[in-house]
Amino acid sequence: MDNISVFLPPFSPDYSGFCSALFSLDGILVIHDAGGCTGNFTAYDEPRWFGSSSHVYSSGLREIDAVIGDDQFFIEKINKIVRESDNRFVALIGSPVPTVIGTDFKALAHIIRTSTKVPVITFDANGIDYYDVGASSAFLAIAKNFILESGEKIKNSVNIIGATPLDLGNNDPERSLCSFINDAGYTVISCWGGNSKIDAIMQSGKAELNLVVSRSGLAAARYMEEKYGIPYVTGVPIGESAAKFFSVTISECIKDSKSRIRLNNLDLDKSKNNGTACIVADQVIGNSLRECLISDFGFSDVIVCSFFEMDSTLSIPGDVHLNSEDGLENLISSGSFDVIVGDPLIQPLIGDVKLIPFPHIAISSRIFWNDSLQYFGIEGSKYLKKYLNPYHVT
Amino acid sequence: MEAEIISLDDILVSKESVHPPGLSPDCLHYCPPTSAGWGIVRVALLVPESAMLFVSPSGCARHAAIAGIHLGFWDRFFCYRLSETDIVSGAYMDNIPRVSEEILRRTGMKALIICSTCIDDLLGSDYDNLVAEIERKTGIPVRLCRMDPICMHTPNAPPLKVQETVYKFLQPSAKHDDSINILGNFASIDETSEFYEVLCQTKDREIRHITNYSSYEEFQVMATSSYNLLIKPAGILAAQDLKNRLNIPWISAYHSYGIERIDGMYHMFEKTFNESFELDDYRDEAIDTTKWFTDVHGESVSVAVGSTANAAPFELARTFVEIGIDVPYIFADAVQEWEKTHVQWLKKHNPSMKVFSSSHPKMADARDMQLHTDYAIGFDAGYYCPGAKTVPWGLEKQPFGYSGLISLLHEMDAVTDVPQDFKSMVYASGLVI
Repeated sequence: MDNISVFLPPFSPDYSGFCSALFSLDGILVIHDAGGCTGNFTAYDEPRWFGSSSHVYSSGLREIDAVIGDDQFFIEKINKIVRESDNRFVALIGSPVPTVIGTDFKALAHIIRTSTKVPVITFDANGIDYYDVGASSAFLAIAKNFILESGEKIKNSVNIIGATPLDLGNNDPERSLCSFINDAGYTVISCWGGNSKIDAIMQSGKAELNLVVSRSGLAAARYMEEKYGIPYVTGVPIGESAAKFFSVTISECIKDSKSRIRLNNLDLDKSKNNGTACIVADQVIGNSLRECLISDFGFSDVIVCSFFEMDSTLSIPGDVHLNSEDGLENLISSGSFDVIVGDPLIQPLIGDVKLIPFPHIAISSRIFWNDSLQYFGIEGSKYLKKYLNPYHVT
Repeated sequence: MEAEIISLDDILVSKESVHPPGLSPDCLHYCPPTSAGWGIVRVALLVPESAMLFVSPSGCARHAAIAGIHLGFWDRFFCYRLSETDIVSGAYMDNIPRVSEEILRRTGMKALIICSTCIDDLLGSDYDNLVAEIERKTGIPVRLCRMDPICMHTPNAPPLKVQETVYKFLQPSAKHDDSINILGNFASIDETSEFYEVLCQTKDREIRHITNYSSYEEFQVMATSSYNLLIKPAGILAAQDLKNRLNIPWISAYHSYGIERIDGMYHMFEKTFNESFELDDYRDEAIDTTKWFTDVHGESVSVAVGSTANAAPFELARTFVEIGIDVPYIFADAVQEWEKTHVQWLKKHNPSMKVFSSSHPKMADARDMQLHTDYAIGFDAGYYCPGAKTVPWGLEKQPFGYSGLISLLHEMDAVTDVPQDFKSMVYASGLVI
């Protein structure tokens, strides 16, 4: 029963990913729904919501409006709030009901843009796809709509692309990551999906490099490479080795203007044969965990699998896209893994194989989002070592 | 943006008679971090030994699933995640019986609830026949429930329909005893309430609530009661259905805090049951407690009342004003028709009170207003009045009668000098949207 959730909750939906990517950007985000979808995002997928003054709203769609196809009420509600606020843009986001009734968001955007003179972006979310599809679409929309013509580059500067809490967690990952980047001698112009405001995002074209920290950031990074000539590196600096080579990799990437798919530029030495692992995560973060297990702990075979979309250029043979709970259960039972790294909720699906908990908000929502997990740089090695002792210490 | 204050006059002229008559229906809806309650799924799964198959696009089921993990009903909750192909072809309807059988086999549950969502309303999916088919195949009672907020402002709003679904599992009984069912609430009336003693003063009767029963079979005893006491309006469809199907009449006695209104409720019971109750000791204790509270905390104490508290906000606000406590703010998304008398009273006796709709779009910036009160009743009031000592007073416990007022005042006293981590309190409470 591939489409039945028995052990894992349904994952964060596309509209949550889209809203999370735009959360801090001073926009008015309107999910065209009856309220439940918006509540899903604000209460279960966005740890920054509490105390925030971000303007995320439900359109308050009702049956009669859907049945008679009355979009005017929607337009009027948005025009009213736009006129009374100083927000910089409007985002119209779909949900299952507009999917069924075929709402034409592009036409609605045109009408609202014409009457308010405020930029309007749209996303045909359906509540069926997962958050990464929405976040990817939002980052691409940012790249296409908000970046100013680049002008001169700022030396040794980077953008972080894809840093939503849905992937990076709730323990202020942006601060840790920025501090890590600053310590390596680079400045951060903007953090997409983090807490950067729209003005910082608009300056992104001046960066010398994009650091793509989740799979969702890849499409935008590729677009910026083509449009603004900014190369990108995919990865999150997890572990001692990554920390050591982070600055070198970035420096080389800026120097030769060639994108790279790994932060750790060394050939991974698998000869120590200290163990095998399966990582269940976002693909970019999973790849970085893999590098850490191999480089810092001498693991030999490590595969990355994900319930979310995977990019073929980031995969190695053995990596698997998972379609269902059964898919993960079968993979683990048919493989020979010493450890699994993944969200704690996958525990019932992995039998008695050791689990290293790595909470993923897109899976477990607020269940673990207050667990303070530090994993950038050496902290990542320390964290994994805690679980790998006494078996796999190098 | 500055939050809009809703005038009491506007509330009084509101003509909506459906549930819940919204205070700001013509704007975008803000969804504060505290805007939640029990949730449709959790209410439906009050049926003892029941499981639920939730049929929807993945996103619709997420919050209920997470709440299920948090609150412990996850092992009875199963999600059928619809694909785009499913929605276009309708083929999922053919699969639901097979999946239902598998769930019943796996869990061994005695009742099954199929829950559909907004899109099935629009697609016109025929769940009635489907439910009958599953019931026929499995021999297990199956009922349909809808989590369709798209119908929120209709007479079939999901918070009303789900309670009807729950009690549709009760089968007609040939005999009835003197017992009374309590409807509308999700936790049984607090055991410290005088209500139990009062109702048994002249007759030895059982007070029944669904949470008293751990098995489906035991739950059926509610079908033998002679009255349904509806203490919250959202149980109205359930009460009507039980009257029609099981011939159990219902009495509306909406849960109040004001002493005179509680007196009136008990007098109404006396009339209905043709019995006489001795109430003086309980009433005196309530009056003494109000005096004690105002003596201890002074006359200048102020309270904000929210809509997530286990109360009708305007009635509770009136109660505070009646006992000499200032209520500068109310946060409410709706006003029930029966509350308008309290709005009228407040207009006369507390005209400076400001009413905000928690879901008005301008409430996104409301915390910038730095609203201050000493106490906040309900999480939403606590959110909008940072710094106030918050008494969540949610639906996990059901205060009732004089003891409800007494408990609330004692709880306010108890939190007075205790440091609070408001955010942790909200997330720990397991509120469900």
